[in-house]
Amino acid sequence: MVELIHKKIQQRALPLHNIFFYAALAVLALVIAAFALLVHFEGRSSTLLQDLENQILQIGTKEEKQTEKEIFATKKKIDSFSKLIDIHKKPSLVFPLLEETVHPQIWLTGFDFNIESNILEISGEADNFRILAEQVNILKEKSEILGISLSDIAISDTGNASFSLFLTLDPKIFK
Amino acid sequence: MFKLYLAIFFIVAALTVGGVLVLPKYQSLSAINKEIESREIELQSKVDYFTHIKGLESQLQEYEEPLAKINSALPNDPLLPSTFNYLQVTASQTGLIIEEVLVGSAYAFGSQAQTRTSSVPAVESDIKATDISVSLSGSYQSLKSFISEIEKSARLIEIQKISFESPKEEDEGLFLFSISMVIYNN
Repeated sequence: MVELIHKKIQQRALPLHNIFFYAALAVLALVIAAFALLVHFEGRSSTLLQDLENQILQIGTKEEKQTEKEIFATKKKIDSFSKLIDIHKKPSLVFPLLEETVHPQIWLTGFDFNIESNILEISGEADNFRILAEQVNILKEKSEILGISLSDIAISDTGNASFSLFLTLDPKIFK
Repeated sequence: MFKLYLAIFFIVAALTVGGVLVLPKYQSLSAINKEIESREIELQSKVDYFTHIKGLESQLQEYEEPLAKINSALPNDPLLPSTFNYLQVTASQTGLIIEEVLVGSAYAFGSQAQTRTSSVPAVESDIKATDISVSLSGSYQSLKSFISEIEKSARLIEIQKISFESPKEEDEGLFLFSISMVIYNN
């Protein structure tokens, strides 16, 4: 009876060994197949990568690079021009302003206009100090003149009132 | 029993092949695929870039006239002889006589002249500037015309300083004007 049971157990255990054996074989086969597939895909990907690298190298022909260079040079020039135009001033506009504001009884002896700093230095002579005061008042009323500084006031050899005026002009008027 | 040992051997072999060959190969393939992705992006961006460049080229062709004006205003060379010629012709046309012309050496725009005053910010650029000082004699009306003509010039000329004094008797009523200007080139 005992022998019979043992034989039965042995008969049941044999298929388990077989299943384990075939399962292990299948796993090994799968691993080998996976390796083969990976080798295959790696080869294909390497070829694709090489193709892409060649395509990248081919982009940007000599003519295209020349065009690129020209466009950058043009852009640089436009940028430079814009910068210069931004600071460009028209100093000729100082003359009408001066002609409008100089008192008829004043004559100018010197003119020095620094466009960069917007400072106009004028020297001149007036018949008397009352006229000089009127001149200063006329200048003060002009909105284009931001600041007035009177200096070197003296009586000239001819008995006139000589002076120097430093006018700070609004830079907007020269644009 | 032999099959059991063989099965164990297969499992060990599978694990060994998996660890030694399959896993590194998989990692290598992943790295290549990542590289492909980045190269594809690079290729696409390069294609887009040169397409954009071509588009810009055709756009610029539509602005040939303004670009020619910019080139005249800001030439690649200081063109001093032609500038002097222009000044001389303009002076004579407006009734002035050029007494003296002084030329300074070229300097980078934003480095020297522009940093002297606070009104113009110092900027880094490839623009070169050349100072020119001109002494002229003539009438006040001629000076006004001369300055107006200079402002209208195709070449960008920036007048920086104008000075004069009233004429003395021995000057026959002619003013002596002094004008400082800057010309630019790229």
